[in-house]
Order: sequence, then structure tokens, then C-alpha cells
Amino acid sequence: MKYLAFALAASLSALATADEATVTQVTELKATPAKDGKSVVKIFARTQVDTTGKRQPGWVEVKLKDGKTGWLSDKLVVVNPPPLAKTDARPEAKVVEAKAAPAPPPVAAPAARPRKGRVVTQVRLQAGPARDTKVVATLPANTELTVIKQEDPWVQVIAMNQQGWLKLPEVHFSTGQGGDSGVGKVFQVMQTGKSGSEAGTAGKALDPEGFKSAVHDYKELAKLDQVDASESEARAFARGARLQQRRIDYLEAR
Amino acid sequence: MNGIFKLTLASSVLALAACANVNVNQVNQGLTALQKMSQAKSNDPAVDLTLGMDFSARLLGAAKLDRDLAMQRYVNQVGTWVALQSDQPKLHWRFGVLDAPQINAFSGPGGYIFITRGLYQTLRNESELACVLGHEIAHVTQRHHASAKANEGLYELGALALDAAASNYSRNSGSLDANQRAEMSKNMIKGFVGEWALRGFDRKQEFEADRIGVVLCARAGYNPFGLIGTLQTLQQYRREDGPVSWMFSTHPSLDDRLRELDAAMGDKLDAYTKTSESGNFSRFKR
Repeated sequence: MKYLAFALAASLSALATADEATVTQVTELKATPAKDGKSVVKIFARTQVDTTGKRQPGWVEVKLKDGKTGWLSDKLVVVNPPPLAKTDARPEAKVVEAKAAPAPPPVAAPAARPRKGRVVTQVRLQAGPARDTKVVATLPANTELTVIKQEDPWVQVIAMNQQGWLKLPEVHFSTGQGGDSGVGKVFQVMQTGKSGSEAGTAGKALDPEGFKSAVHDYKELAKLDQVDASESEARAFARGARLQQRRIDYLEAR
Repeated sequence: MNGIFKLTLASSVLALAACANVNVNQVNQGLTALQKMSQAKSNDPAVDLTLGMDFSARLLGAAKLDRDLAMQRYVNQVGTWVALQSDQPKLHWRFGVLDAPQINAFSGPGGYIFITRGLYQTLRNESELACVLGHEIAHVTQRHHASAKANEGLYELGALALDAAASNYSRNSGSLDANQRAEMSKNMIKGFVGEWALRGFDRKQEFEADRIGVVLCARAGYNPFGLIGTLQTLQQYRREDGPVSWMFSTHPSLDDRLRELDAAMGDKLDAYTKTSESGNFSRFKR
């Protein structure tokens, strides 16, 4: 369980700027790209790291979430796949190659998200991302888990020391009633830090008090008509993005 | 509308009339309009639009539109495309990004949808944006503003006040353009229209908006699990956290929303996770 705690702590510290990656087995972070290089720190399997972009034959430089940088064998570092489905077949996590071309930028930089979650009802942990795969374990309500990767509508997780797959909506990231892990707080600090430094004018707070006392602004309202999209513009946009319209029935309430 | 409620409404109109310094004729007009309103449910598109305008103007009095017009246009393109999959494709839908760091989204009758820049920054891709807009669109198409139990009477009262104001003005000055009408209504209904934004909708209405939102999103070619992802992101905030406190206070818990959505979706939308996106989403992340 020790590495789970480590991975959690590691995944919480900063918004990712480079590729997020996972270390596949226990190893040592080296100060230099060499087997006999000085050991910086011991690394546990499934530790989340960021690649810095620097590479040497057989080695890749990574930054730990606590800020330490060093070198790992590129055989032991797997770049995390993008979080959501794209048009193309989703690439499986691939081993970082020493001379690999830079990966294409993802559609959107994923928001930093703690990888620790839980289930809120009893669920089955499947061996693969499908219902017809073997059931690895039955997880009771409130079992904690660590997310490895997301392949909508499935998520690969580690729970009760077992690796397996859950449906995405079965994974909750709330801290639950039993106690506060502090996850929410850390996340907020990260978000605030970002918007404070990068958003420029922060904008005044939009809260119920502000709404109650607001003076109607019809000039601002008229601006909406300068940016609205006609039906034909929206259709052209969808064609340009190659969005496929689908016929799907509304869902019944359960 | 029952008798007691009608009486309450009538006295409210009288009080309103007194505040606004209007004469007896106006009060009579108001009462006539009230009678009309109590006979026919107010589902007049013109009333919806006026109330939507007023709500939106009030909201925009609290937070301006983000100044990035390209971003506004982009959100309108995504939103209108999603709305075209709804039961009201012909409505004049308008979308706005509010210049506020808080995380929230709003809808007004007549097709007005707003998200805060704080919410946009929290989203990870265009599918999540489309699903969030789909949820707000559903509040409009399902007429939740008019039917929410929490808003009972207020919607009619707002419509009534507007109606009285407008007809009185028309009588005195002939035609009434949208600006004049809006100007007139400003003082009359301030504090009434938009109560839904403070009180929130019913739980069942929120669950319904989630169910419809994911379907509209998937019909538009987006990944419907974008709404799940968004709710999971928001789960990392605590109820009392400043950026989310208003939104959390007007919505069922995220645990409940995820549970309801999971149960309703089952495996029905599993085939629609593949999406192509315009590639514009990240341009407006700051």
C-alpha cells in the first residue's frame, strides 16, 4: 500500500505541463543517465512522473511531483494515454523511445486531477474493459482506489491490491462522509493558483449576493447578439469538426 | 393556481404597483392580466423571451461577458449545434461566457445559456463543454424555469408585471421597442425574475437535465461521458469551497447525480465515446 500513498502524494502537487507518465516497476531515480549514476531516490511502481522532454539513448529525464528531477531507464517509463476518446483509435500506452518524435499535442491539456477515488456502491472489478470479462473482485461500497488510466466508458484502477476495470460513472472522487482526505482542498489551491497568476483580471466574484443586488445591464445583454451563431453557422462548424450526428433516444429515469 | 395563491399574487402586484408609483389603472390592468394568466399557463414564447432577457440582463449586471469575442463565438457554435439536437432547434439560442472565476452555469427561458470562465477552465475538452451546455439547454426545453416548485408563482408574477408595464406604456406612447420594454420592466420586476438562479430547480429536474444533456451531447457527435468527467472533476471541491459554493447550494450532491446518471445510462451510450472535436477548445484555456 505504500506506493499507493506515494503515487497519490505525487499526483497532487502541480498542474502537468509535460507528458504525464507512469513508472512501471521499482527502480532508482539517477542523477545522471547511467546505470552507475548516483541514486537520487527510490521509485515505487506506478509512481506518476512528468517527462521533461530531455532524453539520452536508453534514458529519459523525469520530474517527480515533489520537484526532484533525474533519469530513469526509458524501458520503465510509460506515457499516460490522453484521458478521453479521440476520433482515431486510441493509442495504447507506449514505452518512451529514446529517439521518438515528439508526441502530437493532446486536444486539451487535462486538468490536474487526483488519481485517488472510491466507489459508493458495491461494484464488480472486471479483468478488462468489458462486461463479459472475468470479475477480478467485488468491491464493497466505499472501497478506495487509484486510477491508472481512463478509456471511456471504462477506467483502469487498482483497488484492494487488484488491478482491473470499472465503468467511469462508478468512480467517485468525492471525499465521502467518513473523513476528509484533503483532496478537495489541495485541488482548489492548485486551481486558484493557476487562475490567479494567468487569468489577468480575475473578474469580480459572482455570488448570490452579487446577483441579488445586480443592476440590470441591457447594454451587456445586447452584446450576446454580436456573438450568437445561426443554425447554418453551427452546421458549418459541425461539418468542419467532422462531428457525426447520431440518432439516440432520450433516457428513461431509472 | 388556487384561490389563496391568486390572492397572494394580487396583493404582490398591488405592492409592486405601489413601489413603482403607478396609478390605479395600471393595477387594474395587472389584475386583468393576472386573471388571464391563471386561466392559461404562461407558455407564451414572447413571455419566455422577455423573462429570459430580464434574467440575463440581471445576471450580466453581476458579471460581465468575457471580453474574448472569439471564445464567445466558439461557445455559441458548440452550444447552438448541441441545441439543434434538442426539441427546440428553432429557438434563438444565445450563449455567453461570464467573466467570473467562480464555477457555475445558468439558463434563462427563451434560450439564454451562460457558463462562467471558471467553469470553462475546469473543463478538459469540447465534449465536456458540449455536455454542460446540453444540461443547461435541457432546463430550457423542459421549461424548468416555469415549473420549478421552488419558483411557483414567481414566474407568473414576473410575466404579469412585465405585461402590465408594457401594455401601460403602449397605451401612452404607442409602439414599444425591446429596449423601452426592457427599461420599463427593469424597475417593475427587479427582484422577482431569476429566483430560480438563487433557489435552484427540483432535484428531479436536475437529474432530468443530466439525462437529456448527455443525449443531446451524444446526438451532436460528442462523447456523452464528458458530463460524467465534469461531475467527477467538480467532486474534488468541497461544498463550502468559494468557487463552487453557489452552484453546490442549488444542485443535488454530485454523488447523487453520478448515481442517477449511471443508472439511467447503463450501457446505452457506451457506443458513442468516439468523437471528433473542432480543436478550438484549448485555444481558450488560460
